[in-house]
Amino acid sequence: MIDWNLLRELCAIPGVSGDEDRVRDRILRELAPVADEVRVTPLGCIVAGKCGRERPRVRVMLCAHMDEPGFLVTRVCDDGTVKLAPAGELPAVSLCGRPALVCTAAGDLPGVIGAKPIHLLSAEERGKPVPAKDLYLDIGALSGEEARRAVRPGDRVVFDAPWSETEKTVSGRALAGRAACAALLSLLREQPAFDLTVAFTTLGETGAGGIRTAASDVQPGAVLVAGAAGAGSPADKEAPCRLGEGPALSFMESGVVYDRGLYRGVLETARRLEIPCQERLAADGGAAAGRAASHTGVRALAVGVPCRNPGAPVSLMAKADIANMARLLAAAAEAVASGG
Amino acid sequence: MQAASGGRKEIRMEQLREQIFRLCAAPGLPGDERGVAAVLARELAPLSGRVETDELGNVYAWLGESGAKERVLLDAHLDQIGLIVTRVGEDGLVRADRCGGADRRVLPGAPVVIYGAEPIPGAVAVPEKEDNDAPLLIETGLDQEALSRLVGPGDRIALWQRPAALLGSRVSCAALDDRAGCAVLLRCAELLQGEELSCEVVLQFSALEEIGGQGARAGAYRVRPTRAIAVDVSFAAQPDVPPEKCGALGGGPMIGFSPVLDGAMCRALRALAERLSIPYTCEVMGGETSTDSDPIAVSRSGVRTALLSVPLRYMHTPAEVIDLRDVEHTAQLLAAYLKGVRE
Repeated sequence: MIDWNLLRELCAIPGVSGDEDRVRDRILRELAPVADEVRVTPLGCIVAGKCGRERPRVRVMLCAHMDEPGFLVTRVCDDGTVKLAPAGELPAVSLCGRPALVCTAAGDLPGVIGAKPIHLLSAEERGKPVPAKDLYLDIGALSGEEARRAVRPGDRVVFDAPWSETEKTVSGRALAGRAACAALLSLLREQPAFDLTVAFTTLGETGAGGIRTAASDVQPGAVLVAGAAGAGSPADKEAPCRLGEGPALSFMESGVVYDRGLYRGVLETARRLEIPCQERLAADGGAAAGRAASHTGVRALAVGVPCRNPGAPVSLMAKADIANMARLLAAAAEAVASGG
Repeated sequence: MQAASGGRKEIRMEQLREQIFRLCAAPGLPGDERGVAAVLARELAPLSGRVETDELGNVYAWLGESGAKERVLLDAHLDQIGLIVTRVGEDGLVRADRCGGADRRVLPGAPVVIYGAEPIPGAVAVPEKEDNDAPLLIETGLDQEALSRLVGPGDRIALWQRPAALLGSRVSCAALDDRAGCAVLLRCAELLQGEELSCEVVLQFSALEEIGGQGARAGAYRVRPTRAIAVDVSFAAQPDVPPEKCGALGGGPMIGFSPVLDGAMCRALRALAERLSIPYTCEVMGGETSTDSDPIAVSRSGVRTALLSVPLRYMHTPAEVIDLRDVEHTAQLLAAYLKGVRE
């Protein structure tokens, strides 16, 4: 069972790449009563071990990244506005004119990402996305001096957005990564058939250094990377995957082809156990995690919870897909660990 | 003494901030301003013995000497920009169009609230490809059956907003255009409490400004003022805007000068600001002002009209920013002007 209140809490915590501490602390608190072994790697990943009823033939690692896309403060300007560098996959069309939060040493500070008023836009500017280099943050400072007292270069900035829930869906900020974290936390509450290693990784949005080092540290025989898969709207006939039809298995992303045996095996497991599951009908998408997971030479597979508007101020997911993600990962881990 | 007066000022700013947040939290989309009108009626109750509404959704509050020869209309608009439901699709997506001049650039991925049979949270879908003519799609997570019970064509949609106190006296919220102006009128009425006025004053909170000013037009027709001052927001200096178009956050009211505004009134307001050491800037426009002052000035046989604007950044986005001191200074200037209106 997914703990929806926990997911809500996780989504509310800002955690841009390289600054995942608060997300990690919350996950560590959740792991304490359920994991048999927990440690934190030099790059801040959590590696949690859970003893199963039997020793595995193949050591399986499940992982999900804790970080989210956002911005870093690059420069405080003399007029009190703040320039930003984007970190991670933010949709280029939805950046300006948004409420934001700056994570400073003294706590989170509300601000906004500015936008030129529509009344003053030229014909060419109308409706066009503002490139990240032209964005700036406003924290209400009227001078550089006032802003520099509050914000430092390197501080992380995230969109501020509400959480909402219906009977069938959840919607909130940072959902793309945190839903997979919640799914992994939920499966750790049950004793697995075989010993299991679960990693909650850092830097997923910026080069996947977290997964790479966690995989190196754990030396698993197979890795299942849990994340989100960009889903089409119900109006999109060519959508690579859809909300409500189960977690999406990737056979390929641009720059990585996943292990065919693992892909077919997991699909077979899902069909056998009647766990809803879909094939992601596309070969695009970010491959950093998949490549990093398999860099020690092991088999890897990416499984994503279908997600509308990943990286946007709010994303949308089906509750059933997150719950089925936990079921599928548990079943797949068992099947792989058994050597089947 | 100074510390005490500084403390009072801070408390005053605190109260002003909370009042503005109350005004912004209530929905008031063009043609459906009932939410904010109800909040406003509560705020007006202690300030005026005569509060009225009309068929269009305008709210009026009367002050000063009843039946005086001079009747001054003060206008601020109630409505905020948003979206409007055009269709609930069989695919469970809500189609919408803009209702007022929302900036399309801030819509993809933006959280919204649909005011159907109950408030329903949703988000504007990030489009598969850039197409400014495509209908806006809103996803709520509800299926078509539930949606068709709760949502229908014409329902209004507000951009989700989060009232936030920024550094100093700056605040951010979605509907500050023109709840900031509403707050100016409320504060002005408060400053005039117990004052002997030689004129009659009508505070008019107008519906429908964002789609053409019908509320103010009908209101001015009804009130028959001898002169009027509209209070709206205008552009505060920000990095990507030419300085000649702008006031400044904390720079005080922007006093409008334009062919459609009454030159003598505008100069009188400027002279008054100088005499009272109230900071101000001049906002010069070459024609119509795109505010309620345009329809008010041509009401009936014509009404001498001025325009004061609170400087605001990021207009028509959910991230609008103002400085509370500008609200206070605009209210002080208005109150001083009204005290000087004689027959």
